[in-house]
Amino acid sequence: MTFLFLTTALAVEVSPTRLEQAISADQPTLGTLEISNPSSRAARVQIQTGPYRYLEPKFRLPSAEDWFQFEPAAFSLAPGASLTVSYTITPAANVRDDAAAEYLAAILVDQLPEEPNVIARSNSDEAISQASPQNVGGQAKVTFVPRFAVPVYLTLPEREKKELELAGLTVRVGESPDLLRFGVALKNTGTVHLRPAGSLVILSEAGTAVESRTLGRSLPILPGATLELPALVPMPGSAGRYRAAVTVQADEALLLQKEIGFEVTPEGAVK
Amino acid sequence: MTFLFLPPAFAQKALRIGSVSYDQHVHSTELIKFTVAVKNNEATTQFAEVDITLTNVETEQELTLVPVLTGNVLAGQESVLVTTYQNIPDGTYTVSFPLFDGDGVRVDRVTGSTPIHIGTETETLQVFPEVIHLGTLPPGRAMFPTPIEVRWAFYRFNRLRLDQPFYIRIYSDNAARYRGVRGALRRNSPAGLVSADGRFAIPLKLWNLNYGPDMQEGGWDAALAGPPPVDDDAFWIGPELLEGGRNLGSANWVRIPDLSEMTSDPVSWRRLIGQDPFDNRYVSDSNQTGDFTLKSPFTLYLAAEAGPTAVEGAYTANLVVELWDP
Repeated sequence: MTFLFLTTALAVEVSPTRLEQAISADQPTLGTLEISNPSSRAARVQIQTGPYRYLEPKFRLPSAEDWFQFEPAAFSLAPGASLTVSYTITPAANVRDDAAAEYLAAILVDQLPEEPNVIARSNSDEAISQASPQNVGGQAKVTFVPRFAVPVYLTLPEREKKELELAGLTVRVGESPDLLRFGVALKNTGTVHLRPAGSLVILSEAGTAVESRTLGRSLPILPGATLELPALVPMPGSAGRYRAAVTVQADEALLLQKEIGFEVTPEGAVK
Repeated sequence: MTFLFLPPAFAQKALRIGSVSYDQHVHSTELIKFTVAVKNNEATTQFAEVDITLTNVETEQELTLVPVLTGNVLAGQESVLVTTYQNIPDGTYTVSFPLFDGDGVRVDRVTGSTPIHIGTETETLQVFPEVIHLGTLPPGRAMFPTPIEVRWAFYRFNRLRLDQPFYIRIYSDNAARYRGVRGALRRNSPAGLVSADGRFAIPLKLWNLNYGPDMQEGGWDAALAGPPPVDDDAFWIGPELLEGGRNLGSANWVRIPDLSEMTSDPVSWRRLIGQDPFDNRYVSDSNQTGDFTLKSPFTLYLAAEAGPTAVEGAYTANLVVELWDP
């Protein structure tokens, strides 16, 4: 068994790391990415698009994967060099008549190895016959491709509607007896994704603040999705009645508040 | 009979830390604010001193922030002591707050529930080596002794000025060149190594320190012994269950999926490392930031099983190592 080591696959840096852009359904939108190579060796880079991979399962997401054109799409970067890659977003013809306000994709920035893995690029007979003869029978080779995935969120401003519903606020004893677990349920009833943030304050019966926590997530809530934000808070030091007030902000004009009362018993239970 | 009276030691004052708060995710040049509430249950005003101590999780070196936080707390009252520090070296730290009274006696100590992460915005990914020639695959299971080293750096703010969630995941990208056996009733997965003619595939598995149960449960001390043996089904397939069968979710060697098999459900991914404070699979009382990262660089190992139906030929794989944050 023979092992052949080649040099390190080099790191490139991509900016921006997330693309949230307003586009027009009728005409192309232009933009740029900055790719830089801070290392001491040249890097070969390839840029393409891919589907958006979000964390919530069973979601049908309108895709903008086929809308992008990059110039250049493949290039080499000298050590310490940077390159501005221009992209053109051309929405599909049916977008004009579609109802969706947001389309998603991912921009994939790959660092290609110096030794290309010359194999068939497709499963057609012609491609297979042109595959490199370097692959001697009985041998196996693995190529690693470091990849940065830039999530893309494209919105149509005329259809944009930001709405959020604070569906519920619950409290129970947490995973250990000295913790309270709060759950703030949010439902995105709008047409574009939101990244809500907020705070939770525990007030005693007298109205003094006992505990406070920031809550929220930077992961987006997509349209139609429901999300529960958890918050772990130390159990109040004494039994009694308390109030929990949550404030959630998803946009400058989108502020929600909700308050519940609960009781901590001397035994440490929560009612 | 002789009685020896020793001077009484300093009696502990009834001082307690009520609550603590601090910035969790800070640029190296920014001020970090610490707030400590100290309750005095004594009948007289008491001096309180809090020596905020940071412990670097990688080097395990302790750093006591100076000047220490001090203040006088009125009898029966709670005082909130606030201070800021700057120019703390980059790194991830656990935080503890030992409280001392005016006599220098430690009367209380609280540990912060979340770490402090200090750094500069960056996002890099390197893999070494770029290409591995595996040579001839032997029949049966074989681990390739070449460790694959992944260097990474990730430091981004989210909207709450906390750690931005991210993952580094691995998958093969073979769907375009895998065509299966013409006329076959079933199309196998394109994941792993694909033959030069695109007809056959041999799955690949990987292991890194994040996979497999710990030594108490699995009996394998990975920190000492490295990757577990592939010949033991307990590590390759999963430990046996009392009621029969195997616990597939506790296998040490895990399959590398193909991009075409991955969906929006993260269960279909193969995540090497990451941090996600909102995925309940990783968040616990002792790990509230959902951190399952490994120190950079971390290594992973590959293995394959050429079963009795494996076909002779040249096989290749493009494995994508992807850094992804939403």
